[in-house]
Amino acid sequence: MLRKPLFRFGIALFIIFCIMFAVIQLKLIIVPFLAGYIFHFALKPFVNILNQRGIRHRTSVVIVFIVAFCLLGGFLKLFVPAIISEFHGIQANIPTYSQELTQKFGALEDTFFGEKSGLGTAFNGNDADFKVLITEYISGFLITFLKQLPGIVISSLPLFLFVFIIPFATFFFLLDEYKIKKVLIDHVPNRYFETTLNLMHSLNRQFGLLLGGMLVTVLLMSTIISLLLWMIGIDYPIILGIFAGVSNLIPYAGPVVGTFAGFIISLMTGAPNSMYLYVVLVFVAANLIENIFIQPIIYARAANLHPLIVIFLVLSGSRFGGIVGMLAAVPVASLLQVTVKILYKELARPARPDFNQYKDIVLPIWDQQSAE
Amino acid sequence: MNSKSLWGNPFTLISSDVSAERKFLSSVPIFDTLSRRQLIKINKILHLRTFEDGEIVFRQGDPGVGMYIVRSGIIDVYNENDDMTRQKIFTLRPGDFFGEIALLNDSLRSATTFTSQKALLYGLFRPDLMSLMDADPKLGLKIIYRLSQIVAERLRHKTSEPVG
Repeated sequence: MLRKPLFRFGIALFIIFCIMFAVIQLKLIIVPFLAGYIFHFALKPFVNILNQRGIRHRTSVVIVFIVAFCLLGGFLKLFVPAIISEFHGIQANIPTYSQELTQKFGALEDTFFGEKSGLGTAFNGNDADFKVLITEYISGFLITFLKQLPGIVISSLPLFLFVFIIPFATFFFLLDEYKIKKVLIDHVPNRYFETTLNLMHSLNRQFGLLLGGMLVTVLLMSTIISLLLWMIGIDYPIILGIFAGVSNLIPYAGPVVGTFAGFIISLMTGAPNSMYLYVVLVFVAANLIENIFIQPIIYARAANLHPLIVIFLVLSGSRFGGIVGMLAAVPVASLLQVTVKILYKELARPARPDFNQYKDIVLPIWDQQSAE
Repeated sequence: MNSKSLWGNPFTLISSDVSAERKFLSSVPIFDTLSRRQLIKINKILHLRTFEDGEIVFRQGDPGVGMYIVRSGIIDVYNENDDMTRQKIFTLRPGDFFGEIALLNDSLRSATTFTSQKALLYGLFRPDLMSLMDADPKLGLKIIYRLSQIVAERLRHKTSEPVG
């Protein structure tokens, strides 16, 4: 049975799905290691540069690690107070924003469901009830969400664990990449060793390209969008920029989510009507920058999937894992694509007769001499 | 195996048996021009595999990912024919290596290798070599240059065989 190529291929796929299932089950424990793995990809090129200049690997890792820590510290010192003050600003102004929202929704409702249209009364027979209902619902939701957001973020992540494990994991992924790989592959039977090694390397490469690409895209897009939003004078440009930068990773839906978030901030802060147009222009410009300059460079060698498949994957991702599922759908599909390609090529070859069933023949004398 | 050291203290220096491995590796033609430090780097990417007596290392027509160096034991190299016959073309002993073409391209294995006694083989594989070349292009270049010399020498030897 094991000799049948498709059966072997099926077994290999089954094992991969078991591993994926285990990873999904382990979720939070895996996260800091996964983050360390991602950061290791971001730092590895710099370690390689130092190695190429003759600096020992261990020393290169320590140097890169210290420099990265200093830069991260500087970045956090520069931006975290600004982000926190933006959050405090939103929390402190909630009553004003609530009032603003009520007025705006009131005006909207008057426009669309006014007496002339009769739509408001058609909805539930009571125009006033409808106005109160929709305004209270939306503003209540926003206020609760914003109030709880910092708490949700902190309580959902065991921060202590993350702070210590992520740098630790990053350091050892950089330092002992080969050793870790050897441990993982050591017990694979000889027969499947080369296939497994090839698969591991291809996945590692694809993972590196995708995650490195995602990391760079988030950083660049967050910075670009924050800058553009700051230029048009909208409130809370950093929070909005970071949110839009991250959500931008969701293909097609991301920019829409970012624009919508910009609208909500404009609505809450009572910005002039022209601000909505500026917000749209900012996101159009940011997307053009991403599509023309960032995507071709960052993702050129990574995911190569048809747009229809991407949309299908994003929708499927949202069905199974919400926003995280939407973010992870394309990278996971891209890894699966590589896996299936390699496994199919290596395992689905036609079975050959047992080597021991072959009959020995002796070479001619001159051939034996040349072989020696 | 080498990988056991992962479970030990990561800051300890390389163990003494590594120097014996280094000595062995410096006797392998592909690595004979490498410095002590370069041999340590090479040793890190090699996979030491144990093959039982009568075990196939690879079959003719298999896709290849890398080459093997015989650390101990004996390996027989066979040609497989379509009429279910096989010809032993040579025997490899400690210090010999085989399958080196797979380091250079994606071609299929041109012969079948079979252990005629329990063997320890070092595997040097293309993905690891590529990673090493990213980190240390000088070392990568030295290996590839030496490898191409050996492949050229083997090719010259093969083309000088009588035809018939």
